[in-house]
Amino acid sequence: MALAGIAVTGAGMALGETYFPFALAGGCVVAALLADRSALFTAAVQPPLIALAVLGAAALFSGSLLRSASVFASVFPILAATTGGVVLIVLVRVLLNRRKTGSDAQ
Amino acid sequence: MPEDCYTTEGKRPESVHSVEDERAEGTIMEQVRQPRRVLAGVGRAVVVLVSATALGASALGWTAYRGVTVAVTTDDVIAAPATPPSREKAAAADTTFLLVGVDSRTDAQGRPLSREILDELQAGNPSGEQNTDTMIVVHVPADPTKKAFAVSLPRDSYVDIAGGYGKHKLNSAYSRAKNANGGSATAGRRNLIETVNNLTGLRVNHYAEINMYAFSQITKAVGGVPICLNKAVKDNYSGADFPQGEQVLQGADALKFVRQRHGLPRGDLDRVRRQQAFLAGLASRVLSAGTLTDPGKVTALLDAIKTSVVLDQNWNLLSLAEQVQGLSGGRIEFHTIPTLRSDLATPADGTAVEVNPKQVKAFVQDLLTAVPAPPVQMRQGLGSGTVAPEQHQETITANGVHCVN
Repeated sequence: MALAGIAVTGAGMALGETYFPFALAGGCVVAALLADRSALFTAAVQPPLIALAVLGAAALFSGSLLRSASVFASVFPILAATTGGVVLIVLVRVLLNRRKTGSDAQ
Repeated sequence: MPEDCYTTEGKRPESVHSVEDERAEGTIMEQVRQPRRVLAGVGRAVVVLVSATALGASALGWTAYRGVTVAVTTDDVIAAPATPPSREKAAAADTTFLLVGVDSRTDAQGRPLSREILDELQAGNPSGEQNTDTMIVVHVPADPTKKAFAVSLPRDSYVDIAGGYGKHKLNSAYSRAKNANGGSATAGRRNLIETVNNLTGLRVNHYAEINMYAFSQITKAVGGVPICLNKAVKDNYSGADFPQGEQVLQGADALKFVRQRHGLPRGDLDRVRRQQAFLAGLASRVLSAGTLTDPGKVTALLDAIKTSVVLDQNWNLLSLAEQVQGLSGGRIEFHTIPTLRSDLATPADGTAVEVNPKQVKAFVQDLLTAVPAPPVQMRQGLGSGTVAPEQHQETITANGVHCVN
């Protein structure tokens, strides 16, 4: 489930670079919300890595490094917001889990 | 029993701490006890670091991106086509842009250049004139198997100026409309674009304007442009004084090279050819790996462009770079529109270059429909009346250095 982000983002990039930021943000947020607890760490750190991986693959595939680099640069605000949002979601989930763990232990 | 995400690997400790204790020191204690957890921790730290670095790189890129997309002066000059010409429907995704070199002594924001810079450029005194002395239409087909072409429009071409100004030299289209509209550069640019559209039958959909200072700065930023002269030249008007053969020019020297017109066998037409050869050299220089991978050169290039280049509102440097990148090597050919007499006497504009609009349109159509096989001979299309030996010139492409007069 945690890797849903990369699938969605890859699909988004395949559709065209206009969809890339939305696919990236959507995929990563969904992954953070639905990922198994054991995969929360992956979900939290993945947005920049996914962006890098998908655009790197796009550069190799299409041969235009300039285009990939420009998309990587232009996507920064969305990437930063997504990363922030995803980390927040994961923190909230971790906190909720701890509270639950704590009440279970007592 | 549910586990939180930080204790998924390895066993939970035997002694059960309170949640607060575990948060404060439990993890560290566990890591000391369990080497595997340390390894996992290091692995995670590395992943976080890579992720943060990627984010940081994107942030840096964003800053540069803003620099090239926002800081560049743009102008609302491309009007939406009132009636899209059906003839060009097939070529809908093609890009046609007009490159204009103006002799203005101001920067892109209209501020006058300093005396030092004017002296450096040997630009003389700011006379308030704004002639578009270099006009090149570049056509980039959407189909990558087709050839791109650049067509120079000699500045003295005697053509019908759009906006009802009658027949005049092409380089006055800009200033005539500008002066008639209270000094609006936008009106000037629009009128020039319209005039070029009418003349060539193409539809210009992007516009880039560069002035003398930016030109000089750009050549410096890329570390000079290789050129080649058939003969040594010396000219007092432009200050050109160059030996024969291959050489690398930058800054004011590069400007002299593309501005010299006096003392050349065919005057402005030879200058046009110089500009083409220079652009070809510049394109190959800019697109060479040594320039685009050198952050210092890229920064200098962007700085030069930011201060003195005007683009249309729908365009930015990245799109331009992407389009030009595809043109490296022999994919682009430089041509000049066919001209007739170059000593045409005119009622009010002195001597001009005679142009037959039908011939120009046909020439451009030929280029549009040309098969990828490079048309080598007679593409220059100069002076169909008097065939001089110089007309059998090789077509200038963006690979290699081409010797010019």
